[in-house]
Amino acid sequence: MSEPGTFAANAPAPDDLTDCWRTNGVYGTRTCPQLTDYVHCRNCPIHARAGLEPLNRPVPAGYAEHWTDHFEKEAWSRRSRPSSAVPFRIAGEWLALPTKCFLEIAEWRPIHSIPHARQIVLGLANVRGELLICISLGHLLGLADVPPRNLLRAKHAPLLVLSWAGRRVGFPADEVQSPSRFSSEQVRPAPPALAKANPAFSESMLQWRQRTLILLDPDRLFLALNRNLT
Amino acid sequence: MLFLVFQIGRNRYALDSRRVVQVLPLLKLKCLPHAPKGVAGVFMYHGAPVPAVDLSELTLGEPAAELLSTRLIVLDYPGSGDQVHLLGLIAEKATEVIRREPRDFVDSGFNIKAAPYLGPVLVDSRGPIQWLREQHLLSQSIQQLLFGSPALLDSAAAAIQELPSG
Repeated sequence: MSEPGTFAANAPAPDDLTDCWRTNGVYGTRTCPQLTDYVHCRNCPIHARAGLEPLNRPVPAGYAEHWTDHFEKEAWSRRSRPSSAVPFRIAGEWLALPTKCFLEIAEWRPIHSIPHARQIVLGLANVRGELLICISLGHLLGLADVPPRNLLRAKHAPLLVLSWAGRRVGFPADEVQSPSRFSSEQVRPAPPALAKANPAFSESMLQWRQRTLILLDPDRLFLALNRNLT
Repeated sequence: MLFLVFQIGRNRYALDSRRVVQVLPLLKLKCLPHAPKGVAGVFMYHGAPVPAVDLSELTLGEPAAELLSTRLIVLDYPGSGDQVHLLGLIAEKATEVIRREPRDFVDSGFNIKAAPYLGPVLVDSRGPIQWLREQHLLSQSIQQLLFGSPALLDSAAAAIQELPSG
């Protein structure tokens, strides 16, 4: 889309497709009668079809070979679909939570303490203009060597924001890694001691880069959280 | 219901998305010698050989254009009994999905004996879309060739492995 009136350089536009959004659409005179229905050109099917036009290009050199190699590999079998989890560290312990319960991993920001809050509550933080309750996951899980809350608040650590079953909550972690894919073969049942712990937050361990992570169960985690926060 | 829309020639067709396993880019295929018209070849899909059928060649006699919008649709093809085979379909302009109810499609009013795979028709602002019944797509003899003789596919797979990479 270099200059007005042209589509992709080597794909001639079909006769009935023009760049009308630039002439009489929202980027032009705004006189298109369809605008009363679609309000903005991006809602119009003509715009959507024009967006697909760049795909009607010849296949670039090496493209088919690259993908042929990619799909040839015995990746994930259809029976064991890969899952994705985010590994993070709290105190000395590496843990992981499924990627689907993460809203974002935010940078450090001040956490304002709340008077008379329960032990696991660190306070409130501002994330994208919304107040978010921040907790100490280490305290909730009962991990050893978790620093006291005032130290946790002051430490410049990334803030992990979770959303699960309608509740948003954040917690600082000492270290976060990017989401990792793992197959069901990499997941092992947790040792009985961990599974029987009260409350039990996990039934599985995850083999990840020569480390063994405890894969937390978000359902159980938020159940415990709700019990602690209300 | 979700349908995958693609084109054969200038006409649009829809495929029931529940049958679709994955939509791949157009891959390099290993030709099957003496294969009937429409059978484009075999590709390796996660370590197993899967035959591919070129829809344009099968129905119009012209192979699909090698464009980015031409995709390789991997689907579950019902075999004899409970068996399900993977089949690749090369389809042009496989770039859209639509959500429609089966009752939105109306009977086209004619039955072509040679094309039992053509189903009812839906008309939208850009013209008709015909439901493609994938289970009737392959003739008995092609089915026999593709799924009846695993040895043939395995020998093709072996040939693919022997090809120098790159």
